[in-house]
Amino acid sequence: MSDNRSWVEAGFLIAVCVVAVVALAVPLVVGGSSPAEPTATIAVETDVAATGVTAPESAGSATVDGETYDTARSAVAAAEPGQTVVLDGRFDERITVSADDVSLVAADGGAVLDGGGEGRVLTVDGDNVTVTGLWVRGSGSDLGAEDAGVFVAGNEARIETVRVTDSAYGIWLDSVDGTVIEDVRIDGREHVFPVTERGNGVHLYESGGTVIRDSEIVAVRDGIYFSWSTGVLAANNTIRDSRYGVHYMYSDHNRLVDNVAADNGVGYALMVSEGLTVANNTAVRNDDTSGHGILAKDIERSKITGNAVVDNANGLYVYNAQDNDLTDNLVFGNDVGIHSSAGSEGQLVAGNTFVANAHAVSTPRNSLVSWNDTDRGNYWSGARTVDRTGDGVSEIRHRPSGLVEHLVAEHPQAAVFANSPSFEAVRLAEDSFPVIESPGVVDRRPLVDPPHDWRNGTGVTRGIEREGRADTSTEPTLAGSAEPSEPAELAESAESEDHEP
Amino acid sequence: MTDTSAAESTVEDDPLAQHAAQHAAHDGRSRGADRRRVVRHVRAVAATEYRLAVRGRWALALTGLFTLFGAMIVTFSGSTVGPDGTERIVASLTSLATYLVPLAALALGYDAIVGREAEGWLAVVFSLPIRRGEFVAGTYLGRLVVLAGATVLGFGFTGFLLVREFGVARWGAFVTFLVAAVAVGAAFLAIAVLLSTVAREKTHALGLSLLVWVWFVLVHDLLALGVIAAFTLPDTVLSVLVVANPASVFRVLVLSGLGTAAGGGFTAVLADTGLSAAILAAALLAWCVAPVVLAVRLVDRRRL
Repeated sequence: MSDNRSWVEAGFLIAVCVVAVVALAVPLVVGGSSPAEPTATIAVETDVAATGVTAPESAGSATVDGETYDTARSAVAAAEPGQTVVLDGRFDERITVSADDVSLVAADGGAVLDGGGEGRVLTVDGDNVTVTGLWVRGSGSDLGAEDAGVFVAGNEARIETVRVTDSAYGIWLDSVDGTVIEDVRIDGREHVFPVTERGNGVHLYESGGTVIRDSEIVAVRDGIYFSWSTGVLAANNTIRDSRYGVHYMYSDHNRLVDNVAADNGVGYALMVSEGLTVANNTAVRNDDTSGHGILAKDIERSKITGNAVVDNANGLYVYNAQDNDLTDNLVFGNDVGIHSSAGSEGQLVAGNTFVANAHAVSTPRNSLVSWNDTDRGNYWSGARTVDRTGDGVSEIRHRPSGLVEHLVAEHPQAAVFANSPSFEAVRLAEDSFPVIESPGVVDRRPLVDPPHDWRNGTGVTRGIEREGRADTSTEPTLAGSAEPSEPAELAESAESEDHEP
Repeated sequence: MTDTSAAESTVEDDPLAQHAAQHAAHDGRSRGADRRRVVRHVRAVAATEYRLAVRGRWALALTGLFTLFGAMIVTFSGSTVGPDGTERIVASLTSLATYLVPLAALALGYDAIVGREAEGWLAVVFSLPIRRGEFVAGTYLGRLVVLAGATVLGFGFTGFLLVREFGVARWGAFVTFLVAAVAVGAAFLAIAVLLSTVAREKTHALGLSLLVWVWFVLVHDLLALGVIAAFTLPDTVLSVLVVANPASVFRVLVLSGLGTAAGGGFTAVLADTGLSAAILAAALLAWCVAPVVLAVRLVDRRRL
C-alpha cells in the first residue's frame, strides 16, 4: 500500500517534469518551423489594361484615306466624318479632333502623342469620335486650366485601349453624354506631392450615361472623380496608389460594380449623392491617413452590397448617411469593421460577414441602434450564438459595440481591462437581457455561419489571396488575383443564403 | 534572521553548542550551515505537504479539473484553422484560467496553516525544533508543487490537443500561457497561505479567500475601468492598476504576446503604459514572493 502511494507521489512529479520538458522542447524537436507572421499580403493583379499599347520613337506619319501626312494635326484636320486616321510613330504635338464620326487609330507599330508638358494633348470636340491604341503623354500641369491627356468635349466618344501617362488629368469629360472608356491605362505623376496637386484619373464633369470599364488607374489624385454626373457605370476597373479610388460628388444614381481599389487613401469615397449602387467591389489596404475601404458621407438611399473590404484602417466609414443598405459585404481584417457616426440613421445592415477585424464596430453614439429589422443579421466572428430552431439565425442578440466598446473608444487605456472577466459579464448581460439598453449597436439576429467563404476566396469578387502564411491550404486565404470574370459569384452565394432553410 | 533562529531553535542542540553557534554568528562557515539547515527544514516540510496533498487526491482533482476545462475549450470553441487557431484558443484559455486557476489556488491553500491548527498538527510541528517561518515556507512550496504540477499536466493535455489540431506554429504563445498560469497560481496560493496564517478559524480563511477571489477576478477590474473612465489619469496610474491585480497581470501578460486578431490589439495599448513583458513577469513574481514573506513574518505572532 505504502509502495503504491509513493509510486503515485513520484509518478505525479515525473509526469509533470516530462510534460514540462516536452512543452518546452516541442519547437526544437519539430525543427523550429518559424511561425509565419499573420500579415496579410494581398496580391492585386496589376498591368491588366491596355497592355499592347506602345510608344515608338520613330518619326510619326499619319494616314487618312490613303493620303499620308507628316503631322497628326494636318491628318486630323483633313479627316471627313466616317474616315479613319491611322497614326504611326511619335508625334510631338497637341491635336484637336473637331469632325464628327472620326476614328483615331494607332498603327500596328504603335503611336504616341507627346504634348511636351503644355496644355491638353488630345482634345475631342466632334461627336461620336473613337480613339484606339494610342499612347498619350505630357500634358501641362495646370489643374485650374484642366490640362489633361485626353479632353473630351464631344458626345458619344469611345476611348479604347489607350494609355495616358505624365499628365495632370488623365481623361476629362466636359459636359458630354454617352462616353465609353474601356481598357484604358492611366498613370499619374507619382513624384508629385502632396497627392492633391495631381489631377484625377478620369474626371467626369456633368457627364451622364458614361461607361468606364476594364481600366487601370495608378498614382493619381482620385482614380475616377464624379461631379454632377448621373447614370454612369464604372465596372471592373483597378485603381491603386491614389488618394481616393473612386470619388462621387453630387452624382446620383450611378453604378459601381466589380472594381478593385488597393493601397489608396480611401477605396471608394461616396459623398453627397443618392441612389448609388456599389456592388461586388473589392477595397484592399486603403490604410493611410484617412484609410477607409468605403467612405459613405452624406449618402442617401444607396446600396452597398457584396463588396469585399479587407485590411483597411476602417472597413466602412459611414458619416451622416441616411437610409442606405449595407448588405452582404465581407469585412475582413480591418482595424475597425464599420465606423458609423454623425447620426447615420435608417441603415439596413444585414448579411455581412465580420471576421478578424480588431474592432468589428465603432460608433461614438449615445443611443442604442438596431441595424437590421429583418429576418437575418450579420455574421460576427467571436459572437456567442445559439440556434435552437436550426434556421441559421441565432436566438440571442449580439452587441458588437456596447458599453465596453464605448468606454474603450472614449478611453483607449481602458482596453487593458476590457477582456477581463468582469467585462465578459457586462457583455453577457448586454447580449442576454434586453432590459439593459446601453448605447451602441445591437444585432438582434446574428448569423451562426458566415455567408462568405473567405478561406478559399470563392466568396470574394475577383478573389484575394493572402500570402505569407505559414503553410497549408486550409488557411484563411483571400487572394486578389484580379480575375475580371466572375462578378456574379458573390450575388449567387448571397441569394442561396436567402433561400437556405 | 539568524538571531531569531538562534533564539528559537535552541531545543535541538545542546545549549553549549548553541551558545558557541551564537558567538560564531558572523562566521561565514556557520552561517552557511545555518542556511543549509533552513533549506533542509523547508524541504522536509515541503515534501511532507506534497505527499499529503497527493494522497489527499488534491493533485488528481486539480489535474482532472484543468484537463476537463482545457479540453472543453479546445473541443467546443470555433472552427478557425491554421496558426491563428492556436492564438485564439490561448486567448480563450486565458479567460478561463483567469477564473479557474485563482479559485483552485485559493481552495488548495486557504487551510494550509489554520486547517493544521484545527487538526492539532500545528501544535506538534511548532513544538519541533523548526522555525515557524520555515514551516510556512515549506507548506507553501509543497502545495505549490502540487498546484504547478496539476496546471502543467492538465493544461499540457490541452497543449497536446492544440498541436494535434493546429500544429506547432504558435507554440510559444501556449508556453507563455502555461508558465504564466503556473505563476498566477503561485501568486494566489501565496495569498491563500497568508490568509491562512492570519485567520483565526478555518471558516474565516475560507470566507476571506472567496472575498479575495471576488475582488481580484471580478471587482478590481470593474473599479479600475470606472476610475479610468471617470478621471483623466496619467499612464503610470494605469500601470499601477494593472500591477495591483495578479489576475490582471496574468491576463495582460499572455494576451499582449498574441497577435492582433486574437489579442484584441493589446500590444498597442501596452506600448503607451510602459508595461513591458519583463515588468509584468516581475510583478507576478513579486505577487508570489511578497505574501509568503509576509506570512513568514506574521506566523510568529500567531497564538497557539
